[in-house]
Amino acid sequence: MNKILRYCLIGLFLSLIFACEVDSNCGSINVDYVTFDVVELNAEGREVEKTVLFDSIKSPQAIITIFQQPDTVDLLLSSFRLRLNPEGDTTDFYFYYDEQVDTIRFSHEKINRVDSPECGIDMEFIGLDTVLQTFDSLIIVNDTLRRRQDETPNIKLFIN
Amino acid sequence: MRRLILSFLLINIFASAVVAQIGQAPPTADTTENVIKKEPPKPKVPKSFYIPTGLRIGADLVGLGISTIGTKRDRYEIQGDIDFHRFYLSGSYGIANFKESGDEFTYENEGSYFRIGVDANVLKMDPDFNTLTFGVRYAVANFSESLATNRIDPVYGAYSENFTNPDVSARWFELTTGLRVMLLENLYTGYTFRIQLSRKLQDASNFRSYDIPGFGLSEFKNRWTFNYYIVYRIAWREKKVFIPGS
Repeated sequence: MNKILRYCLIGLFLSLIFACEVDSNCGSINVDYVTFDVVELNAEGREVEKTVLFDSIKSPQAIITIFQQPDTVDLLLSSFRLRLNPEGDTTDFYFYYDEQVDTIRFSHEKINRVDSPECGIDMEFIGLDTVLQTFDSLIIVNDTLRRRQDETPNIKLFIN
Repeated sequence: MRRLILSFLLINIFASAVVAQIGQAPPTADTTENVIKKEPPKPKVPKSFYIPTGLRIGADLVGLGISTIGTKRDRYEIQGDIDFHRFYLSGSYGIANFKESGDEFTYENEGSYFRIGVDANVLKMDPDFNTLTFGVRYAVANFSESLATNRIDPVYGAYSENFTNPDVSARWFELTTGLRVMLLENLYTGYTFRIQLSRKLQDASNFRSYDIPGFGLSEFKNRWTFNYYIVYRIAWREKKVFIPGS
């Protein structure tokens, strides 16, 4: 009997270790912005970083202009990030530069998760795709919006 | 963090209990005697002992306390078991609802859950039929939940959304240990400590579930909980104590 009791207690004790998961804190890995790298192909056909001077970047869904000269010096860009529309399942961006305008319409899904009363709602954007785009070329590298340590972007924009 | 500290305290209590209860080896007899003595064959339990003698039904006092004192959760749970000698077929059923709100959301759920499983009693010859059991359970919860958000995005402005998961189901396994002690004739009280493992959710498609009736916060796959029951035994047959050799 002692032996059975001992095994039961050891079994429960070991299971208890697995059952003691730590509460989450407010640090979610999910983000609500798309990261872009602007690149061009050099003479050898390799991707190289390109800096573009944007006049402004706008979204018709947004209540403010996302970037506007001369409000910021950040418009000389090779990599940047833009927030997605959290209310709908599409977000449009108009990029004004070199006296021309290019457009991207993203489609995306959003899944809400209650983090805690203190931390509020955590949003997970998944399935990022383009409905239309007018740049030379565009590659979706990551279709899920997460904080990444390797700093790979969600989107590679090719501008020649 | 509070949960982690509580968990470690519980592990410590558990470890101390194990050491105190079973850490001491039984006194060994003289070795020469051990060699000569042959253990008699174990007496068999008569089959009649496996015929159920009664049904124990009870209510969970923790759930009643939470419903009475707290404002966020209502939970009512009944529990029952039926004996087959030292083994018990055990089940419980509960209904629960939960509300939580923050600056930018309101969450609600409502549903029911049940657990079914078996317990083995390790107290062999207690004349009052007090029990110390170890057991396993399979648990299922069915519920609906809704989430209303009201947020302000710095770029896209204020917006509000409503989501509903109408038919969510969850299942998990439990390892349990429980104690029932007789207070009065046929009236027992005691706890069941539960380690809940391997939680799985289905049909929570419109937003991620926050809370599961009978389980708790769904961000955890494994967790622990306990119930404190007051139990009444409806006996229809005299339960005999099996004394080996009698």
